[in-house]
Amino acid sequence: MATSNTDQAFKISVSESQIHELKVKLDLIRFPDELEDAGWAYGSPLKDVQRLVAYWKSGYSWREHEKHINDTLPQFTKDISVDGFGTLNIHFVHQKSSVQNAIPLLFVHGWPGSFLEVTKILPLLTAASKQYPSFHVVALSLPGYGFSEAPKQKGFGLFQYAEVCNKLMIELGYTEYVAQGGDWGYYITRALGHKFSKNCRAVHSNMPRGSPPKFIHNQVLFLQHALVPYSEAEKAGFARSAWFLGPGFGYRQQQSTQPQTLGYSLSDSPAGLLAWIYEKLRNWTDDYRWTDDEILTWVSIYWFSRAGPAATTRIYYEVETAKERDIITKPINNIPLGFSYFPRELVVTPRSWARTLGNVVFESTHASGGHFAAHEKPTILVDDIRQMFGKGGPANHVIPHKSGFDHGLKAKL
Amino acid sequence: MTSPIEKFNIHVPDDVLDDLKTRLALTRFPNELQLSPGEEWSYGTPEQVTRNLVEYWRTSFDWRHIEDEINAHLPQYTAVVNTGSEEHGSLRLHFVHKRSTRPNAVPLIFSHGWPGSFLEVSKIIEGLTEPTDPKHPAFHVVAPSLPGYCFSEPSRKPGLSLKATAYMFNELMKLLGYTAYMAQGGDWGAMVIRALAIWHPENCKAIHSNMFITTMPTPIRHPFKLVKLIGAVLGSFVGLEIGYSKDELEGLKFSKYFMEEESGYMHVQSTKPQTLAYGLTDSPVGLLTWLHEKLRRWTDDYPWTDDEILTWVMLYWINGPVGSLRYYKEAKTPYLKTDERTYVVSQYTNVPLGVSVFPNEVFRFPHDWGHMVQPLKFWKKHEKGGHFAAWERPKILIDDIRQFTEIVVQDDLSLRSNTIST
Repeated sequence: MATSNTDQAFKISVSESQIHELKVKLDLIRFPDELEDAGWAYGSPLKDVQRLVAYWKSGYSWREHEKHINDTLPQFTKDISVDGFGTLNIHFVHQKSSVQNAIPLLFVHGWPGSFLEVTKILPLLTAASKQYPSFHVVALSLPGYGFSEAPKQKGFGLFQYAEVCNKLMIELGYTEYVAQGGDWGYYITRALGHKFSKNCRAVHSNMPRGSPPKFIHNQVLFLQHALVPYSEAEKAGFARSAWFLGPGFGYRQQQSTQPQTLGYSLSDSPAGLLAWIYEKLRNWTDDYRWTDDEILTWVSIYWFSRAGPAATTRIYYEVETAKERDIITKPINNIPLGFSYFPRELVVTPRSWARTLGNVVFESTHASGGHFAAHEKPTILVDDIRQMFGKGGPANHVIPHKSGFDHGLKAKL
Repeated sequence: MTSPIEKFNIHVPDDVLDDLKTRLALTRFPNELQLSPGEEWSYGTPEQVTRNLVEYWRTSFDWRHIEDEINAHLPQYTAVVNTGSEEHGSLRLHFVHKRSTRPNAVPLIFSHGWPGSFLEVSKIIEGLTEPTDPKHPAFHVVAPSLPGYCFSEPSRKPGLSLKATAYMFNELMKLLGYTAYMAQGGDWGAMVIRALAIWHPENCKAIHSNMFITTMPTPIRHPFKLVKLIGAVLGSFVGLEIGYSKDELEGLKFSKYFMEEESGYMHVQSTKPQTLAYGLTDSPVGLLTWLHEKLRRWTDDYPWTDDEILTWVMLYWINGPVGSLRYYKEAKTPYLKTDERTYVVSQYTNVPLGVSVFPNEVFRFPHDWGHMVQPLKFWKKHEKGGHFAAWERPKILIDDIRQFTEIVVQDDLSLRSNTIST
């Protein structure tokens, strides 16, 4: 594909001195005590953190995982300019399908995730088949995350992240594409739908939000919402949401107001970073059996990230200060939207709420799964995406000439 | 008979100090946004200030000298004290105790908060125990470390909160021979003294707070105040001062702002203190910045020296901060139909209250709310000062305590009696 700005092929290669520094710190970890029978009630349990630290120190091999990531995920970097913020060097995964008319798809991660979240869905999305559509997949590291540069000035909000995403896709030759995301990926893809719908032609999210329908805006939804009693699943959803917005909310309160203060301990203490992230990996998933290797690899991406872990928390501050969550709630009516509902997502709202977000053409509800859908339920998530965009699907042919199938050609298996 | 009270001197082991230096040398700093002058603190504790402190801490900060000074200036002890609960049993409390040479001195317990410590009594202890003016009241001063803070033993079990703290402090005062005493405090100290007034009014006879805190007026218990508040808010929309002054409304707005924009630490500590503790126990710069931000934000242009900041931080570093962080969550321990924190803030007690109001305090309530949960005998507003009144405005605080005491001892002569137990 001819591009105006060359992609640099990229392989993660953390320096020996960084690995050494980490080991020295792991050797020195000073642990707090813990109350008897505390379990998870006060946060990440001591025995878990100690076990993970011990393994991280000796046993876990970053080099091995680094190699595996490099072997599995084709990575690149590219300079992307952002209005008012200069040029940022952006790290991304890019895998094309063998299907020429594959649908270009941008996958946007969140916090405390990373580009790694595309790993399990990548081979499924890019697979060729007569039954379901195929995708060319791009999964970036958001600015300030993974191996992408971080912005240096304040005010880098949702529309700046969206600008990076949009420019990246265009420069890769995908002037029209669809987007998928959860966590910050949900918010950023909303911004894409608001500002760049000429290019971003459809959005699917596994973290549906929305607010209760207001009579003045959505009479039908309002009545539906007012008259139809909540289902058991919806009631359970309220309980889950209440947990998140209450006891589960501290991290967000801190990261939205004083991220830098928190950033020092995240940058300086591997145990501090580990405990902070591990708690979310456990509380935000639906009984997902994390292996120690998975946990440490996810945390290592933060520890070894180009801009350091503190940079990843600033998005909370910027979005909160600019009240951008409210802005992107406004309905998007000119492109199709799709939502997959997982019961252990952080905020689980009735269907009528997400329908206020615009032209919702696809909804799908699942009996299990949490916040990190692409990692916990890859086949289910991909099924949903295929249904939305495939033959007979509500967003079929949303991009002309990119049906996801090679017409008249036998599918290569 | 073995005395349950033991003399205590701070002596941090050499290996703790060496380990600290090693960590400081390994500090891995985060990067920072380029911010304009005046905005440096807007995302949190800034980098340059922190780098300077870390360098000073590593190379020149003389803890041994500070330790000697504290030991010389503040006579300290420990005693094993009952928590009033079978679960928590008895715990060793660390405290400062200085008796006045004056007869008829009033026993006074000074309770610190977070991220303060017993050290906050340093600048007021002399003026309270040995006033130069014979007309001024004198005090026997007791300043404990909260359980789980500094050199006070934490409980091993969940739920040790305000009620247990009050029980322990009351037991301590009785152990020292003070069956009638006053209490003074800010931050958690303001809550602890409320707990003393609620659960131990037979011994705690008057309380003075530099952080007045209460709940919103309710329709049933405080209908007039609620109406007054509504009137004031509505009036403000049209530029009128009705009910409450503009100043008081601004104060309420600030309190709301504080809860929305500056209470991240409170949310995390009240819900996931353990998660937070790992980084703050392991990383000196992590702990430093977490506390320094409050030392700066909550004071009124107080010119903190590097030594002051680092001394305050050291008191959390030595035994680790986790007990202090968990204290926030423990305060949510269920009590009756609510939780201890809410109960302590809203329950009425007849013990007289005195309040000193400093402009940079984080909670700012109208004057007449002072009457809502106690008989208000003293309320004084000051032009300068913040959250750590005993540290920032010691003379003013001493003055206020004296004035309040003169009012209450007229009503309660038991405060002037003192018995000494051996």
